[in-house]
Amino acid sequence: MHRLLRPSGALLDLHPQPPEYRTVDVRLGDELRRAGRLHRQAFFIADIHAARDTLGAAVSAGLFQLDEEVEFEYVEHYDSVGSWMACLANPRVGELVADELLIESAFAMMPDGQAEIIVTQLERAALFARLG
Amino acid sequence: MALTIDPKGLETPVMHDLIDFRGKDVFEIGCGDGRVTWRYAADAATVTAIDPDVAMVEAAQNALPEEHVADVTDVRAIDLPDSVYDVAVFSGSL
Repeated sequence: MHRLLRPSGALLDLHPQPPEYRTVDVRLGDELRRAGRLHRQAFFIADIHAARDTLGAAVSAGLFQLDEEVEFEYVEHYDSVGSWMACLANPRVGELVADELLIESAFAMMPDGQAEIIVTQLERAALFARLG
Repeated sequence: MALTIDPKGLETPVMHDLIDFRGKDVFEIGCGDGRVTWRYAADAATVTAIDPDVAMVEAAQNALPEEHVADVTDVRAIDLPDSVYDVAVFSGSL
């Protein structure tokens, strides 16, 4: 990557924190309840760790310098059974470990717009400057 | 609407606060379905986005403007010339 970038180039790294899972909440009417966790597939977690290791090695080697980093919440709201099933079918999505009754309750109330499933992760955006 | 992503709109301003994408040649690794790509593609001069997952790249291709590129490949298997990009984006994988 270092050689692909122009001398003034920059690298923006976007990675979830932690990489292993996202939190799942259910909104039933006005009530928001923690339902569980939505894990990621092992290959995707391995990719993220490999990326971090590679970036760390590149910084240690003097190829890049960390200029700035920001953490923020990245949130997805699912308000239909179909969209939630599509989420679970994503090849990068792993096991759902969650309160099944809460999920079923959300399914029952979704057609009336009274429920949604909310998936949240902390994301880190880090900017690296190309050196050399 | 069945799915709302980032309703607080946090990701796009964070990215644009860190980098001014205007007129930049951007190379994105691990573009997936283009979730991150579309947040800067309209500002960039060119975008080359790759991912090893065929289904994800098809989704990205459908989501991106025609002048941008999303392709299925392993980054180690492609031969690109030196010093051609202003910005590299790692979106969740490498």
